[in-house]
Amino acid sequence: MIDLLEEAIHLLRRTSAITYAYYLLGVTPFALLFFQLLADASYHRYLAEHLGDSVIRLAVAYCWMKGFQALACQRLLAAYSGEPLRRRGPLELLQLSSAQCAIQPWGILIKPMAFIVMVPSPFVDAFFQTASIVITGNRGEFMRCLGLSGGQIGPGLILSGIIFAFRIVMFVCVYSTLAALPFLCKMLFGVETLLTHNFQWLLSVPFLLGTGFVSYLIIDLLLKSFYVIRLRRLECETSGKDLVHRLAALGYAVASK
Amino acid sequence: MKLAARRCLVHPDREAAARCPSCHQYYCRECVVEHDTRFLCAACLQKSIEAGSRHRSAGFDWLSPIRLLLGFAGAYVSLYVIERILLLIPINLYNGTWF
Repeated sequence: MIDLLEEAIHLLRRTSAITYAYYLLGVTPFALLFFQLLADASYHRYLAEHLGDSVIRLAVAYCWMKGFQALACQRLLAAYSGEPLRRRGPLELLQLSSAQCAIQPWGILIKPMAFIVMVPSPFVDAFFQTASIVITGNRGEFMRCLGLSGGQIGPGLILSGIIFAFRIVMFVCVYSTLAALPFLCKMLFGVETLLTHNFQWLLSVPFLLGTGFVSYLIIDLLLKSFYVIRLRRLECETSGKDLVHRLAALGYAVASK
Repeated sequence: MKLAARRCLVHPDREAAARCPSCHQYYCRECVVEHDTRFLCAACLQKSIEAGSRHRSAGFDWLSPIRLLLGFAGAYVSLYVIERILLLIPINLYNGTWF
């Protein structure tokens, strides 16, 4: 488990900047709309009046985010396996995004429910993370994803525990950085803002939820990298694809000398 | 005739090691490759890969818009529930005056 996580961090280090660009391009609109939602929620009446518009905007941004996250996962998989990335035409991209859209949004409701019950939580998490990598809109991928997500509950719960600890550490890091910024600006540059007048905003729900969301997104990328490696290893156990690829690379290296 | 008595189609000086299930010709162990749990010759492997990629990119998938709508409905319902929960939080928690 730990060596897989280490490898996942290493994969994130050596992957190209384009993968991060895809991830950020997908995440940014949803994150901005989510922050706007939190700001609107501070004025209850305003959010209650514009609830429908706000939900539609967020839903579109969510589907957009999941599509780009799937593309980032494809790039991570290509970076890990060393195989060339398959170019997709517009229709294939539409197929991929629609397949992702059909599955991922249900995770918003199912994941918290599974987290409360605890036991199916590792399976549910593994399913939605594996779906980001496996499901591209072709037939049979849903069943394949279900098959790949299964496994023993024990290691899954340990992984959930480790990831939960990572999320708390990341939350503390992001929280302390964001909380220190206005005071640092005041100390170093003499810039006085509303945020430096009192400390109440440090305990406000929008700030806490926003910080939690940012730390969730950071750890989510690590988790995606983890599942890319897990998926590749599971597939290679039966097909030996990794060995074939290594042998081919070795043959190419010998031939080019 | 037994497999051991057959010769490779590409290398007639070698004895056959496998029979391609697609073209039914005999090949030595260097001329076949395992693909999708079957041993295929190079030509049939190429055809199989090309057929696979053609199948993958074969025209417009009419299920895509339905999937998009289904997913959008899922996202709408889930996010609506979240926003309703956000509205249940008391106002003094939003502005940090609760403590």
